[in-house]
Amino acid sequence: MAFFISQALFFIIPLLIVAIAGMFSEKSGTVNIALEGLMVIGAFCGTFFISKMQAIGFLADAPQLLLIIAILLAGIGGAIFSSLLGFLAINMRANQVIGGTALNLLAGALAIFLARQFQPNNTVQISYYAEVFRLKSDFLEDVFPNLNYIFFDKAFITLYIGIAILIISMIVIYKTRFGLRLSACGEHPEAAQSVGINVYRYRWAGVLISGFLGGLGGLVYTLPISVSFEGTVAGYGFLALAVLIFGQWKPGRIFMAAIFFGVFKALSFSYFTFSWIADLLQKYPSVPFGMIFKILPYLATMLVLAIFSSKSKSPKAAGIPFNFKGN
Amino acid sequence: MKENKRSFSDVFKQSLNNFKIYWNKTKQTEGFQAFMGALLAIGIGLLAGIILMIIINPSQSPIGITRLLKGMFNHPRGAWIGIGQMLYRATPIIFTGLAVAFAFKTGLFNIGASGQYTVGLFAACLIGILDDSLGSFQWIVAVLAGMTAGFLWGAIPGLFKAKFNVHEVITSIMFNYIGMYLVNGLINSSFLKSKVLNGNTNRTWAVDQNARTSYGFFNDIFPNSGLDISILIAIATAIIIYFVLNKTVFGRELKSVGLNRDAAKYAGVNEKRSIILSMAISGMLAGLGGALFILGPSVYNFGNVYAVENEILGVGFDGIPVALLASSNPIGVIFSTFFISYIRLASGPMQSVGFVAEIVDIIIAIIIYFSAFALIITQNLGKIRVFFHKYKKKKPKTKTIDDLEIKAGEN
Repeated sequence: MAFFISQALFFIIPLLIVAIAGMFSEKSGTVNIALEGLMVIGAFCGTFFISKMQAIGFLADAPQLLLIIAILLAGIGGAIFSSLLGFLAINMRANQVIGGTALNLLAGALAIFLARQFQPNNTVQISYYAEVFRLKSDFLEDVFPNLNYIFFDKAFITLYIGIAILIISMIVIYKTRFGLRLSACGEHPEAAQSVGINVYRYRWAGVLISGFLGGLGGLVYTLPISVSFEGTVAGYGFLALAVLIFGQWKPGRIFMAAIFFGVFKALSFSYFTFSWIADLLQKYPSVPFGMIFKILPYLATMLVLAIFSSKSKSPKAAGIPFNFKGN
Repeated sequence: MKENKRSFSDVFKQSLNNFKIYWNKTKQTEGFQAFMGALLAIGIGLLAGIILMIIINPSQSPIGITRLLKGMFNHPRGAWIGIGQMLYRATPIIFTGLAVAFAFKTGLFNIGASGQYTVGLFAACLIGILDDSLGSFQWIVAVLAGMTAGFLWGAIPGLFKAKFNVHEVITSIMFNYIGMYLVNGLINSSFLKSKVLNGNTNRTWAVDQNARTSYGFFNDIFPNSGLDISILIAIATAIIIYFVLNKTVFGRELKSVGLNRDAAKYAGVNEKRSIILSMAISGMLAGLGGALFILGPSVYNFGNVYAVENEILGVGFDGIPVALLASSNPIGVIFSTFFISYIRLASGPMQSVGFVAEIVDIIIAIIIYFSAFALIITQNLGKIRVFFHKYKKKKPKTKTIDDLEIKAGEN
């Protein structure tokens, strides 16, 4: 069970971060289907930095610091990349779906291109050693060995960064002037403009925050589950988009949606660790359980959405370019 | 004599004027602006790619750039094979591009062409391998099965949107994965594995000879390029879709729901049925593409196969950029797909002179990015002209066609 929860967290946290990334952009009125691309760019920047630094032994005795620098770099890479979306969607008032699609294409191509250009022998894979980043603490080892395994031994610092992002974004969206104004720009930009809010600036802020978190989420996704980055995040950006809609553009619900999806996803990888499922496998060898468990996260999400989505509300002005016709 | 001469010049002037008026009218149409926008975007994308190539490897860049621009004509077996290859690779993407474009035209974003393509491919593959009793009907039954599977798979996101108010983007993403895992699972299941799967390669077997698409006359023109008559079916499908969308009541209804769901509802359109049908037809197009791919005889009549991997097929996502570049015009999809296939055939030859193949993908991405702007730029050309017109010293006293055009451009 501890192993299962630990696995599930590796899916939940990146989905949470990237869906919140999408939330900041869409709350401000810019549809961001470039989440996949942002993740790819972030993962590239982060893993490339880690790979190079580990090769020269930089900060070898302080892996957590190295990881934090890499995470910041991933976020900055994502933010810079997202400015392409911001320029197109906010300044040029162009179609945001086209822009997002183009950025997804560009990110994948750019990541492989840069990896091949700057690595020996045109290798696509950016290899890194992730084990050193595990917390490996025995903080609760004596009292709750399972909790210790999940939260302190096998966990990465990214787990806490993800939770911090959730809490901070909840406060920012609901309790601060910035967050409320941001939401206003996505709901009714003309009204926001009429009370003196600079809609362009808030939409830019939304897109850049989205880029930062999206890039960061890309690294958080890639780091624990693999030993190398190959220019793709396997559709997780699109899944995060689904989680964002599932979570109704609200941080708390996004967290729930991410847990829901992540648990089922982890189940599809480790269902055989549960003894009762293993028994079923033995009993009915002809039933394709592997397929059923792989489909389950997607199907379960669809069922839940079908039940709860009847009054689904996206930010009203999301996707509509704002045209300032003042003076 | 004099009269004759005069009338001749009059006729000439008049026809010239007619042509000018016609040309100016054409310039104002959406289609023409979209076309110019796409050309502009392609120009910018290629330019950016060329600059990138000069920066990263100046010494090899002349030969690299030549190979980039030559595209399909790089083929070592000659230009004809190159053209055949281009058409062969374009065929499935035309179908997924049509699927995405059709959905766009009816106000829906079908990001699930990949799943619909996969289930269509699988259905056709099953009929093509298992149903030997059908004889010469095996091909057509397989094609119909693929279309039906795609139709049903596409109808699901439509149903979720119409009945449960679930956004079609999320449903179609989810059903990409469900389709892919379902197909892979069924192929690996105990009742199909022994008949369908080639265990050594982890790919399906090629379909029976009876079920394969005919090469038609293409094997004479483009020998061993793999091209079969599906390209003709693709072009015919594009024309049919264009006709349905623009010339039929049914198509207009579907489009009206996309433009304004409530307005269409009050005008008496059954908007839920329309949404489901739009997505289903879109899925059917992708499914048809999948079916025709797996039934394709491929080069040397080896037959195409499906690789069982836990990855979503990229051809479904390729449909999005080609549809966007064509501004969702079904006829335009043919040409945008041709262009993208053309330029992609340059990636191999470029790699052999030391350029990373992904440069081509970067160029395509830049083209799509700028195609979002380009439409805005071309639509505002009139305004730019007006801006310059103000600074002209002499203003013509009489209204010329140019003036009229500028006025039209101002709107």
